Amino acid sequence: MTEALIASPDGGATGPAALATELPRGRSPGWWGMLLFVTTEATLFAVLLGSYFYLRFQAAAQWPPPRTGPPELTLPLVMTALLLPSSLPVIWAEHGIRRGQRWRLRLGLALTLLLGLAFVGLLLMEYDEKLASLTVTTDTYGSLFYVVTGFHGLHVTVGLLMLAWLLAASTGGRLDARRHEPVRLVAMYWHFVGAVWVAVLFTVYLSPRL
Amino acid sequence: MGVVRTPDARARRRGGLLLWFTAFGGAAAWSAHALAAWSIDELTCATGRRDIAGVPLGIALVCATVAPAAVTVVALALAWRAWRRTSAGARSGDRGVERAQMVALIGLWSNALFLTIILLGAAAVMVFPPC
Repeated sequence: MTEALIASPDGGATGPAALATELPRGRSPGWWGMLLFVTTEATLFAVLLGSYFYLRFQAAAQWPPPRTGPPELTLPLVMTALLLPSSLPVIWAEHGIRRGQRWRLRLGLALTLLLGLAFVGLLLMEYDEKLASLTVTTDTYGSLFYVVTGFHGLHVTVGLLMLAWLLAASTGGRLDARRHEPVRLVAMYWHFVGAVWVAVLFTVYLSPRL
Repeated sequence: MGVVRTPDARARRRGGLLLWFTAFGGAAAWSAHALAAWSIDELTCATGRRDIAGVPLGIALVCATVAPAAVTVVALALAWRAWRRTSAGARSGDRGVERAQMVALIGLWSNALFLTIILLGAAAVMVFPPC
């Protein structure tokens, strides 16, 4: 009866049955929740990076201001080389736990955790060097630099906490071939953090040299 | 009453994608409009020019407004169609169709809102000089 009611007379894409198709299929509420969370965070970064370019074009001809000079690239490029490949061990770990291989999950998570910690360590090193000449209150550029990179660093730190929690859960035996959804959700967040870094790298570090 | 056929796999996939478009088409079009119109205006004015490759800046801004507005109108029309066509099915108590009807209704309101925002932006382009 229901099938007859919802079936489209023309069987087309705008019929009720076609419109009611779940796409993508079989995702958990947690997956949708993480997708929404990542979307809202992406909006936040889009606004931050938009503000960067808006203020940059409103500012004087030379950007960054002459006393600051363009940002050094060595450290950010090393940070990129650490953060972007750190998504690979998470993928490897996720595939492993789907097959019930807990050792792969632990090893993958531990590797990602180490790479992420190294990234945050280098970010703090960069801050330590920069703070001697540029602070968040020095000028507009300083405010933008610390707010954008600081927000991203905060997101990496939250990701590290998630990874540490997963690692603890995996050693406690709470994740296996049937219960591995949290790994998928944390992996989504970690990939997002890596993708945002590419935008931050281009905006904050590379665009002043273009 | 004609023969009732259930949609094939291709039609179902297209239907699912269509519902995504009805929900987010207007928002995506407005985002593209805001980014394109603003960056074209700011970057061109910053260089002191009033044209882009020979095209007057005002015309370029109108194009960056009309195209997203057209996409939003299409999304709005599809949301209306989806809402109408899911109404009968939703009364049958089918959860999937009820969900589709709710998404279509959200699409109706959000596309109307984003269309209004885009058109108000267009009004500003018509009244004020671009630089």
